[in-house]
Amino acid sequence: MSVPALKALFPGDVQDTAGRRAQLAEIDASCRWPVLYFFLSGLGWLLLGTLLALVTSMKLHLPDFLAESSWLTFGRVRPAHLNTVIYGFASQSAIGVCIWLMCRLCRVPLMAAGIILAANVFWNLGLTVGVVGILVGDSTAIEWLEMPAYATPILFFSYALIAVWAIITFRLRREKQLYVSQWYLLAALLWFPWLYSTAQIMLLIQPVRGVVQAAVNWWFAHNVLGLWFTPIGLAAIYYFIPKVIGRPIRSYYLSVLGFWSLALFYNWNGLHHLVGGPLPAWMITISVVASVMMLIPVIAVAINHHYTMWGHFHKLRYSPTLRFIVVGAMCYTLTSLQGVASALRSVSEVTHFTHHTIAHAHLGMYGFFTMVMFGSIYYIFPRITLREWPSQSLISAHFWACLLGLVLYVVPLSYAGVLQGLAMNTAEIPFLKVVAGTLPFLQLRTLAGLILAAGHVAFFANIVWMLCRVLGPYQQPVRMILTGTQQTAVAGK
Amino acid sequence: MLNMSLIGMILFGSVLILPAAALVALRWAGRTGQLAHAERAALLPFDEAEPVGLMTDKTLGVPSGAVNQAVSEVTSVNLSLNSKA
Repeated sequence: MSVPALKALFPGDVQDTAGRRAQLAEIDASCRWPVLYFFLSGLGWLLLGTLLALVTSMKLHLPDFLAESSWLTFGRVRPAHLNTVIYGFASQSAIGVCIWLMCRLCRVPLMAAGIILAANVFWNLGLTVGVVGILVGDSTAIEWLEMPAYATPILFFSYALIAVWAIITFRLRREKQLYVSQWYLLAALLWFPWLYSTAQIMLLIQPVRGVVQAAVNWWFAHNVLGLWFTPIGLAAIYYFIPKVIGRPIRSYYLSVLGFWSLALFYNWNGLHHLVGGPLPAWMITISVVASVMMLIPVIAVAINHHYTMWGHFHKLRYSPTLRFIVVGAMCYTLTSLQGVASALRSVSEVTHFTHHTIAHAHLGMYGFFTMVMFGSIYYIFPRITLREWPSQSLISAHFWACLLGLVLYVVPLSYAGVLQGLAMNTAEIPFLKVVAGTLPFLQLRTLAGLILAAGHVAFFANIVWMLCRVLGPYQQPVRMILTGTQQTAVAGK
Repeated sequence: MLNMSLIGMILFGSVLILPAAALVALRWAGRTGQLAHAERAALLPFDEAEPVGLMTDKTLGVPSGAVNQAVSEVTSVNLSLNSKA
């Protein structure tokens, strides 16, 4: 079908209040199953990833734990954890949020739902093949790209379907003006295939030789955070903070500046992870400089979010979305500043190869991105299922467990990393003594993981409870979304 | 040889195509007024149904005096569409 013919299916944008309400309802209803499938499968991978994380963490201070089975050894469980949370939970929840935001901001109902559903099936198929491949010993041993080469084409095919859908939706949008979140989303959808395919080709399909492998590996590992997860996380923050508190973003120009400076500087990052490595010094220096230049988008985003929230912080009491997203936005600033500091040669000489890097990665991927995704899911889920969250207590338990677990994870490990680095740089201290010195912090890390796991279980329980209301026989008064009014929902829907 | 040519293509493509795509995007943004109407763009998350000034998530309780009839009506429309589906 041609573009004009497709556009004819979507008449001009409505302007009146009743029309807008009907339009929002139509968009949310159209997103229901596709977004739900991405969220639910992402949640399943989150639970599996959490279990694998706990096993990995315990092995660091209890090396005999589950050591009898080869497929549960540290070298397999750890990359399996990484891939399940990155490609299973984080990417799928990101895609779900991306779909809903694109439809809302383009003001069009989700079209070609079959493409999205097929993408979901292939994504989960590819991931299952990949994670099983890692556990049976087929890992590529390349960090962030551990899934064997036979799994990745399936993932790439799935991604291509999503990209096609995004292009169709963008092309048929009713609202011609773009919001800053759309800039971030569209850029992320462009950057991810570039990153993933380049890394796949240069590391797995036609592998480059020697230290160039390390350079490509760290370029990918760092940029998949900055050019895939970060733009989608920021897109969600730029949408949900104004939307929830009912106030436009403080400075739209600053948000645009943040986007273009991220686009300009971030992809030069990555090689600062190889400070001290056998690479030409100018390559590492470029990455160090680019890392410092990242202060521009980070400070622009931080100032904008802070002043948008100014005078509205009391609303954190009422909105779980706002709670998770504000914590995520704060963690974005913190992890970015920590990243800038860690990129400096003098700091990297101490913190690299230590637990400090692990803390930094978790502050970014969990503190920033995962918290933003949780917040987004809390907002989107009731709107696509037309049901309230069943338990406020479970929401609070989820939030406080995540926050406590995060602090308990990141703060001690960051500190431990510095101690570990200083000790490793002191030739008189035996290596085993350095390792033994990290043990209390590793035990604390497992405790933090258990608290995070409790939060995830609370989240899961609330979602299952809500789904029982959606899918099962249902005839009870519900407190209407947002308002506290009482209305009887439709039975069986 | 194949190896080097493939890598060369990737690097060449990255160096040329990505900045070119960014320039095209910037030109398109300038031509279509995306960078000129900041005040309007900032209001895009809002509309007549969910206007500026309306808090749209009060899952953990309702601030006193903040219940908004408009949102209740949005939800009613949602439920009515759902029942038709």
